[in-house]
Amino acid sequence: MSAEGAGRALCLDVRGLNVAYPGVAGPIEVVRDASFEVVEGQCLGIVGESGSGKSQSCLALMGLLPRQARVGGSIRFRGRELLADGAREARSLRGRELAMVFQDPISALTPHLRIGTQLGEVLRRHLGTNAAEARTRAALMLTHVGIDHPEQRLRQYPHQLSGGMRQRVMIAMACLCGPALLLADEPTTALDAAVQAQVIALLRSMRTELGMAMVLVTHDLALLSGLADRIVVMYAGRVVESASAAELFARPLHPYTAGLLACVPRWTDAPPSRFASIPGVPPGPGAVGGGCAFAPRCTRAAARCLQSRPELAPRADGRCVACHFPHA
Amino acid sequence: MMRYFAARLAWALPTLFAILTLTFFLVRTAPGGPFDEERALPPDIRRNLDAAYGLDQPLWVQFGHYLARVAHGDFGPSFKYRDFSVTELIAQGFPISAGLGISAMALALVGGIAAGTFAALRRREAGDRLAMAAAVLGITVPTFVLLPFLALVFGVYLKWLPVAGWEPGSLRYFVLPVLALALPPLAVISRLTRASMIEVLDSDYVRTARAKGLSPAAVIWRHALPPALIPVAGYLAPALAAIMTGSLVVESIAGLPGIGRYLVQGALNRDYTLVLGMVVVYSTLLILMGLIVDLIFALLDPRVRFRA
Amino acid sequence: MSGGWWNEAARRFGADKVAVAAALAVLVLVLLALLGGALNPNDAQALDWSRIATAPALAHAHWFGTDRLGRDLFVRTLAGARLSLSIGLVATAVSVGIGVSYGAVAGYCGGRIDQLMMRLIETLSGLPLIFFVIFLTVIVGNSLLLLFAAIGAVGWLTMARIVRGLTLSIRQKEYIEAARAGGLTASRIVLRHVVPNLLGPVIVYATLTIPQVVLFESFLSFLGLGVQEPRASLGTLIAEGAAEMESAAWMLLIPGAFLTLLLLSLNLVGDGLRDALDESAHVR
Repeated sequence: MSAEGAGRALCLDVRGLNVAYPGVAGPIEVVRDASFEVVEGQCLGIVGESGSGKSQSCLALMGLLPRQARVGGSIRFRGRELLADGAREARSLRGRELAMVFQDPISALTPHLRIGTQLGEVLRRHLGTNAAEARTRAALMLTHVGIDHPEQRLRQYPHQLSGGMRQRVMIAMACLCGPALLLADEPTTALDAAVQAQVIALLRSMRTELGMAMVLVTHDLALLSGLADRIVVMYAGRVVESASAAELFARPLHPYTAGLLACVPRWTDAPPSRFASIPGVPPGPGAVGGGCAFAPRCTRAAARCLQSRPELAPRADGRCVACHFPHA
Repeated sequence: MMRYFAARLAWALPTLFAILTLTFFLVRTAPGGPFDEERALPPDIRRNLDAAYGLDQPLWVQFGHYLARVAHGDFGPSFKYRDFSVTELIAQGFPISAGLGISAMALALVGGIAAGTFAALRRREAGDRLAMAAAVLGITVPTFVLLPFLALVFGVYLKWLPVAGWEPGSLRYFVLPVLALALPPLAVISRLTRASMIEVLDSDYVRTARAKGLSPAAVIWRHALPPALIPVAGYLAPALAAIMTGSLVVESIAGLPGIGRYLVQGALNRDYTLVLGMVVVYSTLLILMGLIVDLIFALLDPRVRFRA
Repeated sequence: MSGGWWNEAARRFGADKVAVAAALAVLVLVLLALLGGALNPNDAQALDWSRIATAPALAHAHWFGTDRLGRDLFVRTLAGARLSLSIGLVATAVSVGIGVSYGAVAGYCGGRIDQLMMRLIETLSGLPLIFFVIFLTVIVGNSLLLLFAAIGAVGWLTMARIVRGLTLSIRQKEYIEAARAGGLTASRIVLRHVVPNLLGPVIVYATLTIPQVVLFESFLSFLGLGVQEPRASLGTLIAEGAAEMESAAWMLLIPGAFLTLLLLSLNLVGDGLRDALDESAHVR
């Protein structure tokens, strides 16, 4: 509901974000007219299948898209327009006020540099900390993310750490300068099930301790329950539904959201005869015609869905959904 | 780390011994001796000569003597340059050849890595295409065509630099030979660097480094360049071999009194001891380079260091 | 491994403008080398005392000029190219023969034998092999046959490595198992499955070996350790040209340009073939 964020400033305000790549037959649009916002201190979950544009949106926020990518729209971070900023200004925000944790911690750390070097350079770059001070603070942060013997770990190389440990290091690295917003792109997908829960718990506690806002990108809706304040559902590059987490879990409006929710196993139910899944595959970028991109897989689709694309519009009850025939 | 290095060293010594054995017996079983050209030699003088050089003894005894002397750094007297020992000849020429080789290697590394990185950062742009087209040409043009061509342009026509020759202490005579020697490995290194740099720039850890807000220079120098140089390190020994090979013609063309010329002269004169000495020197250098490369690998990739 | 794969590779090669241009250049250069003598009235060895070291001109029949003995450089360059190319072909055949059999044996046997054989290759490729060839040419004298053999004997290392790797991976492929289970005899398996899989890479690498060998031969001849007077190879012509360049630059430039062009186009054809076969292999 709109009341929950009332009185608190917006940390991030994304309006009409477009990401496209040049293709042989015209530009290939991977993110189309995506809008969402994050209130200071709150957590936004972005959920969608691979190719839905969720990671591309994230990389666009960080300015990490490949050079050939064309980005349009507006990204306001604490009142500053990131897409208008010069590269130098955006860089000084990156790693300090705006930090990111990636999917695969195994390949996300530079193999030939010690953990201490990789942590320390963030502090030295953004806060001008000297080497000894940077070391102390890095060790402190490692303790914070639950790594024992931090002094010893600082001297080690990434390959000497387990996957879960490396993701903790990544989180420590992102939190070093006390960012206002932490982006986490599928932070647990590459990890073992047991470690996944630990990392999610860590993200949650770090958020409360540091009071930072967070964007958590995932394909797994279940992950967001109890963690996200708001949730944005993306499909084929577009936002199809946006609601508070409580509302979305209680009453999904878009058939796609409902489908995703049905895929989440619930132990209160009788043991399911099979895991539910949405039949079909999402369309590739550029393969979307004039209608609703989800229509070919949708059980509620009618002739109208194939002809005209539903706009994402706020309804009378304040919720936003892009569907001609939403669930009641 | 030490065990890894010790294992490499343990392989290098038998290799060197095998080279010594192979070359020694190859030369000695071959028809034709160093004194064959001097037909007028009376039999007794011939006998004395053979005795003086130890040629009258059984082959394996000669080999034993040879090994013992080589172990002390003594490659024996030259058959052709009668007043000099092979060690003296090598010691005379070595500083020149080493200076030539080291300069060429340095130029090839610095130029190749810079060009390759530049091309990788401007992938598919005009600068990249131009650099890589130049690299194809650089790899193709043989040193013995390139150096005379450079001498013709800069020496004969423009008269900026000497065509050939050598003066102690004068660097002007070095410029063209170093250029000609460096260009082919430079071209190879630039291609290797470009390919691996493109891969590294697309890697997750370079993305992390950029996400940390580091400057582009810090991202490239600290995070991208060291791993991108691993294939270049793998090419160092072949590059040294290419430069050594090239130095044979370069020293001959430019008239530089280095050891490269001795190998060619020794081969033409059937100067056994000289050629043997040269092969030992070249092989030792290459084996040393192999060991240095192993160290560089360990430096660039900690995973190698911690592998038992 | 159907004909479709080869057609696909051929189509890709045809689409590669650089490679096609290089292939045409190779064709022209080879034809020139083969027909060289017939195109020009001069003889490779004949001395024209009236025109010693004359510059190229169309007026007299010496299109590329003459050397300091008055021999026609056009005919000599083409004769030299013919010799260089035939040494290139023969030595490449030698190295392909040794390399393929060595690599196939190592890859097929696997285990200890493979390890030992690969260790030998590793050791050999760390050595300054060119010096050994220089050695060999001196020991046995300057016979052309030896030159063929020596160069071929050095060039097989990479080929052996490639073939060994391929054999090893083919051996583990499921379709070999399937063929064996289906009752195909060993010789049929080799003919139907192993050879076609090896053929592409071997052709590519053989193509890339030819320019290496030509370069190597020219290098030795340049030093006076290869082809000897009165025969000419591109290497000896360049050596003569380098000695005379201050008074007769064409003697250096013409054979030098010819050799560079030959090497360049051969390399580009090899690169084009590799790309075409590689990409078709990925598409499969």
